[in-house]
Amino acid sequence: MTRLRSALLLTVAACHLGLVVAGGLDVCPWEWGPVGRALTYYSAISGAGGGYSFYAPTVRSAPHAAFTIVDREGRRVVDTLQTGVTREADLRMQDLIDVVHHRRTDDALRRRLAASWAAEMFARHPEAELVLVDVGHSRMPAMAALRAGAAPGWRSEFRARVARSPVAGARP
Amino acid sequence: MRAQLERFLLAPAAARPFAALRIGLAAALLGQALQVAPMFLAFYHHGGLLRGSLMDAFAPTHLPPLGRLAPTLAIDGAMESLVLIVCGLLYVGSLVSMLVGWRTRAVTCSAWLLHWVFTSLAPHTNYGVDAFASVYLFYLLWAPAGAALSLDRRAGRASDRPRESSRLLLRVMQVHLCVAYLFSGVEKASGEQWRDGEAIWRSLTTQGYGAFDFTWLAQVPLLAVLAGWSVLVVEIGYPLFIWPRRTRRLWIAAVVAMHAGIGIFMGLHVFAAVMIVLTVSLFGVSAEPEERDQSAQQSTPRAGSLAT
Repeated sequence: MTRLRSALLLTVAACHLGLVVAGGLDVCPWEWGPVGRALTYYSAISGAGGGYSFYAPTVRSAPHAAFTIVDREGRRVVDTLQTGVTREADLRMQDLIDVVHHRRTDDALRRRLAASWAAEMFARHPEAELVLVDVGHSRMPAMAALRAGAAPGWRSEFRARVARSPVAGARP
Repeated sequence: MRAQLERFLLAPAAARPFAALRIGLAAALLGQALQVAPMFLAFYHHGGLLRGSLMDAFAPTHLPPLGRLAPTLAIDGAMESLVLIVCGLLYVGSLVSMLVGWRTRAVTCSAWLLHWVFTSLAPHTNYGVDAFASVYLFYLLWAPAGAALSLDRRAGRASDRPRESSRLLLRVMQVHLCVAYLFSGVEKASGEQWRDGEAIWRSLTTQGYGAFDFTWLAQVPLLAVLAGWSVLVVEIGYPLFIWPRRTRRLWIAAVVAMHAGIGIFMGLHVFAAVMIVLTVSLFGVSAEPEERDQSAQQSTPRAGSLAT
């Protein structure tokens, strides 16, 4: 390998690793003008701009969405988005449900999410007239609190009531 | 010093670590694809769990959302299903070809591109494994991953001649992994939960993660504290102890044990498999040229005793 080629490859490698470190530090070069935008695109495509704070600094309870399906006679059935078919699919479903937490200040978006998921429930349960959406998580007490007698519980983060539309789909 | 650094970065390296990474990553991603298949259209179709424009509401704000291509190209629901299924089959086919090393460069490119397409289409369902898979598929585009343990090698389409550029690429991949573990460990250590054991407790017992009943752990909190600190030591110590020969095997074993635990007890099987593949292939598989390789590279120096 020639000196020039070595120097060129080393420079490219150093710049790439610089972007890796910047990504880890949550620095986005988008605002740095055209070069910054090009670097952002490169970081996104190469994965160099990703962060690494998995389960850090804290571990939250896993989110869960419960759907109470109500038919014309008032009979109730509870269903979930998770299918239990594969763990990987259910993990992805959890990430999807977690959007309700991440977008907790955007009520309009959360209502749209509820309507979209309720539409899935109406498709699964053709007899359903109403879907009650309850997104939250099971709260496990801290170890010391559990030893002191505290019990696990459920904490709702978002609730919605979606009625079947007489024309198409569902409305929140 | 300069000569040592040059050897560390540019001494010719064999392709075995890349081949091991190619095989391990392809196998793990195939397992993932098969597990996602039952919910494929629910996740990626505009008529799935996020209907219509809601599907594209979570794309990064400064990058073009790929999902908007469907309505732009006037693709209706049935056509979108067909396009997605064809892309899904191509992705699985690319991974199978990667696994056996058939036309490795082209199929790695196809696997990386389609992986990027799917993670861009449904960013709200991604998690850590997708980030690492995307990063290392991208690296494999530039690596001689088909130069060993492959049909390409058997057919004479690829040569496993040790290359200086292979060493540099291997170093970049290794340093990237070190950065990832270091940042992950430091971020964990910045909160109390990993130091007082609560993070371990929550990971093992909260609904969704817990595959087993670990409520007994509340009676032996010291065990949770020890486990939490072990994770911090393994992750923060990774960039220090994975390089020297004396500690490398111990650290590989510790990382494998940590991720095996995550896979078994938290149910993150694919994530665990990918992370184990990364450490084992990049640090556990020797990149030193064999004797027959060296006869062809008489004048080239070895990489030194610090690392593979």
